[in-house]
Amino acid sequence: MSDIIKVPNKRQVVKADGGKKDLAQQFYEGQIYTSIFRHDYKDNKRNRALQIVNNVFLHLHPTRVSRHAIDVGYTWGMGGITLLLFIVTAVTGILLMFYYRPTSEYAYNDMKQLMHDVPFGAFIRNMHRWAAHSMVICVMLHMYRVFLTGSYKPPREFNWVIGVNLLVLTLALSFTGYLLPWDQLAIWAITVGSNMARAVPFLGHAGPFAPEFHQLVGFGGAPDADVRFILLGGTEVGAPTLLRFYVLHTVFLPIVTAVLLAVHFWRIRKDGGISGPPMIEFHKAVTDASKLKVSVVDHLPKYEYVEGFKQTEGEQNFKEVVKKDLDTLKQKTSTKLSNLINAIDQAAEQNIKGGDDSHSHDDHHDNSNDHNKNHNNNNDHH
Amino acid sequence: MQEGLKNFWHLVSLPDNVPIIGMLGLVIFYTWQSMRKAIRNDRLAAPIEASMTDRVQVWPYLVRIEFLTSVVVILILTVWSVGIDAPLEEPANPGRTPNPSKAPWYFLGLQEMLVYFDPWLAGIVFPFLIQAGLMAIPYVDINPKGNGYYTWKERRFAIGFFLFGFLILWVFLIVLGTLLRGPGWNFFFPWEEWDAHKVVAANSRDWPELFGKFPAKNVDGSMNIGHVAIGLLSIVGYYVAGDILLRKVVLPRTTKDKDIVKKLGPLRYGTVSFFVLTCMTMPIKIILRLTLDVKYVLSTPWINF
Amino acid sequence: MADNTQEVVKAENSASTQKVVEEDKHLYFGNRRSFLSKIAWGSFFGYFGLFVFGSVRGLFNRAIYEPSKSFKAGFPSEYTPGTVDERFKSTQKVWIIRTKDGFIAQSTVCTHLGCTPRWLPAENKFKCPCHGSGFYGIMADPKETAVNFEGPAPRPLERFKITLDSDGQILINKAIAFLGEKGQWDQPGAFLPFKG
Repeated sequence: MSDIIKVPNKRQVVKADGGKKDLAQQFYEGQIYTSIFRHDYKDNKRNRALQIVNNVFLHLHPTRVSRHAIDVGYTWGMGGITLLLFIVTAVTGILLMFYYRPTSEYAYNDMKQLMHDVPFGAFIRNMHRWAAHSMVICVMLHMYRVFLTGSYKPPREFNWVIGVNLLVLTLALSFTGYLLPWDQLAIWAITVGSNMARAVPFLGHAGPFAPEFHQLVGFGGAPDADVRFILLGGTEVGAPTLLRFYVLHTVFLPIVTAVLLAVHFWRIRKDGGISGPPMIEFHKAVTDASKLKVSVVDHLPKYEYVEGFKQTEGEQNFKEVVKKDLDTLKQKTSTKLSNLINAIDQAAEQNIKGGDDSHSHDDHHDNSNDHNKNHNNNNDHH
Repeated sequence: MQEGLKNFWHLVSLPDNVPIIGMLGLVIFYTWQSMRKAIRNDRLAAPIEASMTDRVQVWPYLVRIEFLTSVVVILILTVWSVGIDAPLEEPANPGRTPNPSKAPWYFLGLQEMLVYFDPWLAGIVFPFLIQAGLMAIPYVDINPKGNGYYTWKERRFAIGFFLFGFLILWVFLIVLGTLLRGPGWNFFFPWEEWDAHKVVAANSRDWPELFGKFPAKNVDGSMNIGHVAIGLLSIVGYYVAGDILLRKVVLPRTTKDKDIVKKLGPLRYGTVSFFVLTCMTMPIKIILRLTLDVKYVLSTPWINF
Repeated sequence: MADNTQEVVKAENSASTQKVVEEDKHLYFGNRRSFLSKIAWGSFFGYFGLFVFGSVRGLFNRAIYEPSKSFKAGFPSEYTPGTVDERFKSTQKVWIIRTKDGFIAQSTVCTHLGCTPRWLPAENKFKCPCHGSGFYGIMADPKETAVNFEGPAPRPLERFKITLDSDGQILINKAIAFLGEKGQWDQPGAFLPFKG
């Protein structure tokens, strides 16, 4: 195992044949580079897999995906673009926060300051607004695409629900941000929007059955004691509204959105990646459409790394290396431990035997076999 | 006409309306592209996506596409941000309401509904139902086909209804609200000038009044029984008749499955029926208002439908 | 396994060095493809460099919201010769010292660590409460006034530009400071000569 995991010590400036390494090679094999990236620079299948698996941001992805999943004509890329726009609005929003004060005395003047006095202020504000509008549009287009490709069907139902909630959060983020410039456009758009809230049944002071509900519960029938008051912080859109919307817009809603985004991406991986038609050719002959399975790839790094290794070094090599290292381990350990190693050995054999490198049905079959065999072996030894 | 078109051009080129024009273009393009793929897939024995199931490595193929897309999007955003300034109108003045006074563009569909329905219905119930209905979709759709590829023939009902809801009831109403609704929320053709003093006769009546003398309130102020009866019967009758239509004609014909309702089961079918029929009350009410000048289908002291 | 990789390294290295030598014969630092590639990556990092620069530049607003540093201190007749006047000490952080020959606008910021010293007329010195720095009071030679003589203060208190405005009032501009240790107290504006 030592040969697979550790990078050979290539820190000597002098190569094996006596020649000196050039600068590039020194850099890519030096301590700084290898401590950050932990794999070498050569382009082979193993390094391509490690590039994904070893990176905290990239290992959201599996190491391999289906070819149609990278087809922009299929996915439109809208989900990824929405995420990019969310990050752009977050970054530009933070830059805007250095100048904007959410009070009715200062808000408008701070906006004017941003547009005229602050260097690059107009650019940052414009980028924030256009990225926000684009994000709402892209979120809708994303929903449109997911529906048209039926990507909400089992096993992805719950991810669609999370997506609908993300849509509502995006609209809420845009709505709360709309008020912040505190100009005529802002204040009246929000007045129109929030006046709907006074018409909530029972809980809004202008809604149906509100007086009766108020008599019963003491809440809902008065302008200063209804659901619209929670939103506005007052009976009209005013300074408290501005502060509330500011807190919602900059802290609360982004945090909730980020959390739901994490769940959304997690579900994508767990549900098998970008949706695709059932892989009919890799299952045993099934005529009943309802029995077709959607492929679900085990996302554990160990599995992906092993796959990458198999692709690079060849399966035969893989078996030999595993066997050699297990033999070494066995020699060095006690009987009890070596029995355990035998069990692992046998299980690995089963894994390799049943596994077919180019297709993915081993994902289903061999993992279950693996678990079964493991359990059986452990039982034997106890 | 000249002035009106100038006004229309001014509207279209307003900074805040530029994204809406862009959205319209993108929606039209993607609808055309996906329908083209759907028709192609339907013609073939298996969808083209099924032939692309071999695995490729994420690094470089997917990562490369993501990188290039990010670069293009940020480039577009940069050019856009340098070229077009975000609007900053006069300071907020609670004493003066501009005319027209519009909600942010993504809520214009709901603001349009305010013309035809009471605020609590258009502003609270409908958004809630839209959200609930969207979330229910995966659980009521039992059709296993079309999972992961474009199609039309295999998912006629689902796609047809969604296209109607998204393209007509959402996108079209946004465009309508942005470009064709002027002062006072009156309707203006693109070539008409926006006149803040346009007078539109508002002689609307209630639905029961079409059948005779059944006003909402009697002369002495009490509720009119005939009005309530006709109104209630109409609403109930709509749901019953609509349900029968859905159950016996629409669903079996579009899904090409005689037993679809039985397969759905009462809970799923009930959900589908409720959401579809309630959704269709919107265009029906709009048509009633525009053709017959009907304001309310049923008017009571507490709620108006 | 280790031997294999080392041999592979050897073979690959010799192959790649060979390739580089051949392509060096063309223009554009390599070949056209790598030139364009360098331009593309250069623009990519250039954009983000510009963004970072813009963000940092954006932190320096062109309009600062602070009160003006110039103020009028009233007419010379309002001040008694031979006194240190404290009327502008808290609002403008300035002592107006009138000697028999003229006026000095003196900063109240201690040159040690920025506290405000106290004027002690009985001992004729400015004494800073924070660490005990002491500065001379009104001396026969105006160049001795406010010179540090005790405590940790490294240099004398600063003087601000003091002139007579057109309407006859004293005009003090705190944006322009004169440092005694650099000999700037001789410059015009450091002292306002006034008799009577």
